[in-house]
Amino acid sequence: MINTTHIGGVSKVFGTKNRIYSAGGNDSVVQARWLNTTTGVWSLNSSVSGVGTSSDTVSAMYVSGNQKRWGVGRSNGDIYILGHPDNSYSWSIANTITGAHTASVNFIRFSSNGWHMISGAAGNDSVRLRTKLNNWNTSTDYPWKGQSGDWDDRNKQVTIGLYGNDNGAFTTKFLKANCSAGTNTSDISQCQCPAGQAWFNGGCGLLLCNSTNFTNINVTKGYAD
Amino acid sequence: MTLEPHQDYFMGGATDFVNGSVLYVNTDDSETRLTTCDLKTLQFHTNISAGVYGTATNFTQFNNTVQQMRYRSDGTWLAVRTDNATLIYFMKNSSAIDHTVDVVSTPKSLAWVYDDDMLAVGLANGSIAVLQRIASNNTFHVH
Repeated sequence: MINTTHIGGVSKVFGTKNRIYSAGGNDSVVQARWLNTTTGVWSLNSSVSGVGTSSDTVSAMYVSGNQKRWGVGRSNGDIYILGHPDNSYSWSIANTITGAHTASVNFIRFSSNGWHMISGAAGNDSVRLRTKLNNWNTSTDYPWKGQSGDWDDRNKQVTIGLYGNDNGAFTTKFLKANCSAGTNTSDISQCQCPAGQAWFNGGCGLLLCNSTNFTNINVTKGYAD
Repeated sequence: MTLEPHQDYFMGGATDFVNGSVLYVNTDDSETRLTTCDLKTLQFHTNISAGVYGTATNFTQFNNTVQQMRYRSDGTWLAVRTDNATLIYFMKNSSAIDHTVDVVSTPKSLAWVYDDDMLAVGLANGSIAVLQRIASNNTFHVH
């Protein structure tokens, strides 16, 4: 049993190979714990405050498969995206999307590489697709009442459970890149890029070797939840 | 980037889940098994071609509303929590409840961790219960 300092219970947990991510039911703190596989002891690795306000509560949480993005949805519709430098798991808030939704966020899912985020919310709000390429600033919205979701990296699709129906409706949608020079033949979520460019963060661009927090473009297949 | 239509599905008939919602969906890491829940019903869907699921062949009816479930990455175990009491349900072979574990406080969330033989459960009392599989009897216990 792991004791935490969360207030209002531990409302969300998320697991990876050797970490447990958690959010309190009535606070604005998220925490990450690390397992010492030799001693079998879980230790607090990172604690981030200010992930929300005193007037809202956590309603959704997800970590990308490569553990580059940690998304936290709140009851007021805000989404916080946390990141960390490539050389440490020192998490901090990278982006705050105020009013990401008009009502409580029901679910957040990142693609495994952390480049795309799909979220749904209560209040008949849209399912929204955002991309790291423009720092999550704009969304493409779909008129689906998204209650739950899960990312399928093998087929590059998201499964979305719906609300507002009496028949248990759910749906699958492909993530597809809109390409001027052709789609990657083996992955419809990526475009073919011009010579000298590569596909990362959801778009074609020059590969730069600058070290900047939250850019972490190197991609590995992480341990799925 | 866009989300393009693929397939639409229904867990039941027109009025089988009145005032319900598909509260949780989850695929295992092989992306061949999908489980969905609405109200007290948990359904299992098997992949019939890439990313396409056939009609659910198995389902489990709980006594309470299913809140969340997660496949272990290899799909051999499914951990389930409902809005009843303090129990975590462990299911095997995609339909049968194998055993339950009492985590003492109301479970609020769950997630597989480490080598997939551990399940982390966020509790209403502010703790995280870590349930570990005991190989000798192939059941989970509070660690």
